[in-house]
Amino acid sequence: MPKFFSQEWIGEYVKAINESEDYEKAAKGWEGDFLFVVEPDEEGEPLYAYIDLYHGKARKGFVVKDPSQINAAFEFRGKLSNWKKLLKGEIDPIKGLITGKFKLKGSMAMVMRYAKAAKVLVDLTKKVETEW
Amino acid sequence: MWWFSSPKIIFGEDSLEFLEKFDGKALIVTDENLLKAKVVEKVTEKLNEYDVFDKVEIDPSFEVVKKAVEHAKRYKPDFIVGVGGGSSLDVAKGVRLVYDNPDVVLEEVTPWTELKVKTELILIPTASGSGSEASNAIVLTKRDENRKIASINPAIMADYAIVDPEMVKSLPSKVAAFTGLDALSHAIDAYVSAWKNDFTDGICIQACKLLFKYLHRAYKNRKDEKAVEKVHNAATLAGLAIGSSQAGLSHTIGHSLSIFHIPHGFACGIALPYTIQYYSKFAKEYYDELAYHLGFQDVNELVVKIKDLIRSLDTPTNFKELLKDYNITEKQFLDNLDTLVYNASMDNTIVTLLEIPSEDDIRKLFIYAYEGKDVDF
Repeated sequence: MPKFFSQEWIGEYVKAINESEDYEKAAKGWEGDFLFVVEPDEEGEPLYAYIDLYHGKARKGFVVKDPSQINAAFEFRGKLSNWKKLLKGEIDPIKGLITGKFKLKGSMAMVMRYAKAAKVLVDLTKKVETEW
Repeated sequence: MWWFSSPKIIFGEDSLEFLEKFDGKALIVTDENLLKAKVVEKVTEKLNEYDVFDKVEIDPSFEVVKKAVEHAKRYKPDFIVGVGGGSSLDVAKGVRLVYDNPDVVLEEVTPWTELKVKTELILIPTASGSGSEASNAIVLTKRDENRKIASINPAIMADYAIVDPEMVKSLPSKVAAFTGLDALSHAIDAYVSAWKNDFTDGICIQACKLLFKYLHRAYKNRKDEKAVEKVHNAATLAGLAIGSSQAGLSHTIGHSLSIFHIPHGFACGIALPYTIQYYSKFAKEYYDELAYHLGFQDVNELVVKIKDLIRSLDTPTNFKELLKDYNITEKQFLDNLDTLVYNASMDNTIVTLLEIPSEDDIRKLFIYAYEGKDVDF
């Protein structure tokens, strides 16, 4: 079982995205790469992952050591405990953003247009068995 | 963590008198017909100083909000008063938001965009359906894409909603029918939303009770003051419910059908029995519970009662007959089916469903609702 935000986990997640017909349809016009950030709840360093999403597919995904080297169109960040709740379905992704548990940077017009794709992306994380 | 928010609601006979407490310049946002029909006069006679923007159209666009904001910048109102159906109220909300946040691009407002408002906003519905006076949503049309976009944000909520039955006395029966069905769709959708909660469930039940009891009466006789007032209150209650729990699948379908420019309430209301039958595979427990509170046996009887109510409003129970009434042929429906399915699958209401239907299921839903067939998939 891959550890959350390990290269193996990202690989499994990218595979799940690329196998999803629902995502392909919902995001068929989407062009925008993401930097995902997991902030520690207490001490420690943040974790970073990059996924390039393009026209309903994930073109690549990898763990990022130095986020300053990444210039992604979107950034989605939150604390580890909130990520856990998100992946377990205990936090609705949009409610999570509204209530400040997660922060999103990037073109909001694009995100609003692809709200369904965003939800499918979160749902797909449940397909990846995760060690915390 | 979640929240329930509400404007201060002034309701019942003479509630328009509440306007007399406001000093300063008011900008009225409304449409030409209400102005000509002297419905707006009932509001302006309570105000000291005012100006009127009356260019709100049916299915208002982002552009009309821009025009109204320019009007507001010239007039510099102390407060804004939306008078009308959902269209005027949504435009008034948009005007206040952009007037107070000049740098904001309305199309890019998300539920989590941080916005502040200082100009007081008062909304006065002249129809009993949209619930816009009590919700934190704005629905505007993007003309170049021919689709409606819903923007939701806490700062969109009005400060006051004046729900005075006097304002709906002259509402034509047909409008009362489709706006009432819109309210029913709000209340039922919100009861089965993924965001449903303890603070809206009771409101949904009460709104449904009032609509099942009084909508037919208010439709048949606009002089039935009790029925008219109860339906007016029900619409605001249902608006409160969707503010916290959101609309659902009947609106996913209804928004999409707006490409044919049919009344929104008819589109959502007629979709309702079919969306309930389909969505029961995810939410049967909730529908059964709602049916119980309304005195019905189960979800099946709920669907039957909704169809009975729709018929009692001299309204068809399928899209084929509805579209025919608006001169939309079967060929036009079928030619646009791909667009209908695509728009529905991209509608923002879909993300607060317990489960997102596949495009194939959405396509079938349109066809079944068009033919008037019970959903069996």
